[in-house]
Amino acid sequence: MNIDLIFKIAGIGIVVGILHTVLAKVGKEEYGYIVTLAGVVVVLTMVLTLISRLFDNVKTIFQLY
Amino acid sequence: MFLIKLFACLVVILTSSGLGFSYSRLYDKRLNNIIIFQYCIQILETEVVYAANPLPDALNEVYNKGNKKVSYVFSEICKYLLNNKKSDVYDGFLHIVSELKESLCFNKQDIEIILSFGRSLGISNRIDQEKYFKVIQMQLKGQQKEAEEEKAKSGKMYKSLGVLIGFGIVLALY
Repeated sequence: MNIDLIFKIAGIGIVVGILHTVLAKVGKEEYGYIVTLAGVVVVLTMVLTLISRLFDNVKTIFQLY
Repeated sequence: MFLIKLFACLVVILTSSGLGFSYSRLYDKRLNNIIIFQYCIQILETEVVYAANPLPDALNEVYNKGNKKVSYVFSEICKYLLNNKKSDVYDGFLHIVSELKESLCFNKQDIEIILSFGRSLGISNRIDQEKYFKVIQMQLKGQQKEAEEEKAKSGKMYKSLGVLIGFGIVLALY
């Protein structure tokens, strides 16, 4: 497990948060929501492998094969 | 390897920031050009209403006296009028529409105002012409105000958007 990924996700979160604020301030809330959604998708693709590994581990621990 | 990565990140951030800044500069340009165009219209009014010059001479005079960044469109109209003796002033204005749109960054509304002015220029007596000049000056004032608001709002937005998207790409790909 590397810590870098957490910092990366935190960075993306900050940037997306600022983007949302900027867009909301100039009255383009709909684009703000799209940006937030895109950020969520990007982060999800990053952690997808980790989540699938977690499920695999859970399955092995409880012997659900 | 680390240095190459750092360099690539810098390139991405600088490029997207540059894009944002250049896009926001379009709003700056439009505002400046509208203001200069108003001065040109004032010069044209003096030439037509008070000096009573014929239109091609008046347009040429506007080109000579006005800021060349914008006033060159008047010399274009002048050339068009001198080269096409059978067409009217409105055709001359239609001739510069693409120039107004691409080089001067005017939007559809600005161009429509200028075209409707072109339709009424040089077809009636001096008192009527004076009224047309007053109308276009008022309309351009309104456009100037709108351009100022747009610049304050969208110009700033595109600047910060460029920088932030650059950082976002770098963070997502690093």
